[in-house]
Amino acid sequence: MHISDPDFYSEIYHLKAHRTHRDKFYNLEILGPGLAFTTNHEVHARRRAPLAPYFSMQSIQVLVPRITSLVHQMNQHLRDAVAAGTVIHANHLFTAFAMDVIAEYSLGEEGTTGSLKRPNFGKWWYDLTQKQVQMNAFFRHFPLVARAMISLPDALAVKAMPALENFIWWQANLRAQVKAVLETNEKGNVPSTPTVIHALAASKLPPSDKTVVRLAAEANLLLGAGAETTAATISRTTYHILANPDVLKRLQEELVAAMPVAHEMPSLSKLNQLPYLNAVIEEGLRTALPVLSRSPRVFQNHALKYKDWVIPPGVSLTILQCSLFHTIPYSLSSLSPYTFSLTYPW
Amino acid sequence: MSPSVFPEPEKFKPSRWLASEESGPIPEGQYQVAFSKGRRQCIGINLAYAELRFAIATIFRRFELELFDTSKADVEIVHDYFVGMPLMTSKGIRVRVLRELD
Repeated sequence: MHISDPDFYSEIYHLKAHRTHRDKFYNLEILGPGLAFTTNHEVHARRRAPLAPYFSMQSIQVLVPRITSLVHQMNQHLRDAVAAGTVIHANHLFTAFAMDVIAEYSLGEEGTTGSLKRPNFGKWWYDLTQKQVQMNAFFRHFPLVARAMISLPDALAVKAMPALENFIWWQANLRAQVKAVLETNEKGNVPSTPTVIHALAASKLPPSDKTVVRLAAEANLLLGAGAETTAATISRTTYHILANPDVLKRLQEELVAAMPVAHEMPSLSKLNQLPYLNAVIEEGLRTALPVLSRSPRVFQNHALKYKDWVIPPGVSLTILQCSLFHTIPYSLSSLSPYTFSLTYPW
Repeated sequence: MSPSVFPEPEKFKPSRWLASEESGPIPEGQYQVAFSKGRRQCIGINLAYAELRFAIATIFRRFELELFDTSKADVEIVHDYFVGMPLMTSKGIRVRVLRELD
């Protein structure tokens, strides 16, 4: 059930007091049992607990030097492009930045993808994602096919669905890395800098949550979500800033005043205090729609009241973000939804 | 549809989030839902904000950019592939870096 009322959003999504499962249909089973695709309320809470401290404000503050060193690398490419006159593919560059940040944080030095050092930056991951996400809708409607694909040996799965080749390669790569992390952990070795998957391996999670498959799924979600959504938001925000000269002007005035020396790296707390920069980012997040999917909650014991209606427990409830954002009507008009077509993008 | 929350929703208007604007700010705690809310809110929200701030602030402080062969169609979301995607024929967002700023 979709409720088209932005003021009801908080009733569904803010309430922390009630048991809510995630709707199964909207899960992407093919991506495995990572946190975001854990439907059950209690299991989700259990898996989130050891992960959350690593993403707190304090932990991100500790991570800042690692982020800014990648910001330096990214800006160096822009500097090089001035002299060379080359065109920069913003999605590729920002994908590389976001991917390198989250991959290094999740899997450590060995896990870094070195995307900013590659000739085409994050193109490898951008292309992989473009292909993979197009299959999300298909696997959502045919979860049995997804389940079958997961259970097949890699080589066979690629044969059955060639479009999955890179996706399967990536999963195997993550499993190998997680295996190495688990072995390091068994030997009692602790990484020199905080590393998320190491932390999960060493956590009090039950053994069933620390298998190679489970932790590889967690790594997959951390890297997938961390890279694609962040990169898309930075890219689309960049577009809007450049397409709106008044926005660009006002942003640059604020930045010049706050950062008189252009090449000096600002502190995060300074950036947090810049009102227009943060307004640009909020607006970027609103319009970029990095995660568009419906994300229904199923209240287990609590009946919600909407106007004169009582919505009993067990009903799958959602407010679609884009109707709240009101940036696009949910008609996907360019796809000609009323035309019968059997052509798929893969 | 809620033009009451976001007047002229199709426009990129950062000022709608500012307290100093006449229309009054949009309460971001309530209506910024890109990360969802509650127990299942995106766990990476603090990291994402940090990356966005560093990237946007340093790039626009240090460089003059212009769009290259990129139009609204390259950012307009038309696909729900779990993530929001523009037309798959889009070549992506591309920029020229005109000069370094002092």
